[in-house]
Amino acid sequence: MKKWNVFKISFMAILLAMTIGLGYAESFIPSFWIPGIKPGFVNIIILVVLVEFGWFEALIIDLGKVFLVSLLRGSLFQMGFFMSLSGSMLSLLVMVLLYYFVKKLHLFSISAVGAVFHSLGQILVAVIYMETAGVFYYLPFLVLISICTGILMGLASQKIISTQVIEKLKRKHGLVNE
Amino acid sequence: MKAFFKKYLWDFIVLALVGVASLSVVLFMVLKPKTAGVSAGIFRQATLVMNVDLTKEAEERTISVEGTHSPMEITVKKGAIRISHSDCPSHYCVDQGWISNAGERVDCVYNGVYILIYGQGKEDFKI
Repeated sequence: MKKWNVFKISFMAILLAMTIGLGYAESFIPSFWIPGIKPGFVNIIILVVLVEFGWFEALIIDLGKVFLVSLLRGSLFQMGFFMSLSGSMLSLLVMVLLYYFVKKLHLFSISAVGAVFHSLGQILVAVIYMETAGVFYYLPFLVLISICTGILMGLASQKIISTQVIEKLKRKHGLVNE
Repeated sequence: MKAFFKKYLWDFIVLALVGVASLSVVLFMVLKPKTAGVSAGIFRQATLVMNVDLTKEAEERTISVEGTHSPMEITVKKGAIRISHSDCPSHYCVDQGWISNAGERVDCVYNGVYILIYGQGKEDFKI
């Protein structure tokens, strides 16, 4: 599905705006017990885009979200930005590979594995910058919580896809080859 | 029920493997016996900035440490240490509060500063 018509461009813009809103709202969640725990609502939209439109569109939304949320927070090209970028890209890469090449997994477990790799990507940047492997201390806690939130977000996106709202819109605007 | 398990077999396998692995490490870290910290090392990007003897602190005092981006304030009292002020956007390090047990740590990724707490006889221990 390579065609970019007016519908697709505006729909992508709406989805990107939604990810920015969700990502920005999430950044105000304070940390308790373990630093940096977030529900990852943005992943719902990334997964829906990945399934309904494809990996390239998901990549655009994901990159746009990372840049624009950092811009809103005033932390562009600072540590938070690089951690977010690394986490998002690693997570998207793993989810794309699992979605296209591992047919045995359902969306909720793809989402959970993606969430785990999101934590891993962030920790890796922290390890490189802090020059200490000790930051891996937080990884088991983050992985455990990532699995739970990842499953929830994956189930939410499965629910959205199963309503076929986007499918109908795509059909209406000539984005489905019949 | 059988069809349900068959349909989601691989999801269960993958999630159970990752889940059990991380859960066991978390349980180990949470349940292992805690010993009070003896000293604390303040590091900036793998360089030891300061060593604080937590047993000898009489009253609360504040130490200024230069981070990679901005200066930070670290507060020490008897047996415990915390990051009390930092200009980082997320403030996770400040939110973490006091740490006092051997092996615990607090990190400020933005400033590249971290504090480790050592137990008995581990003054030279460094990650």
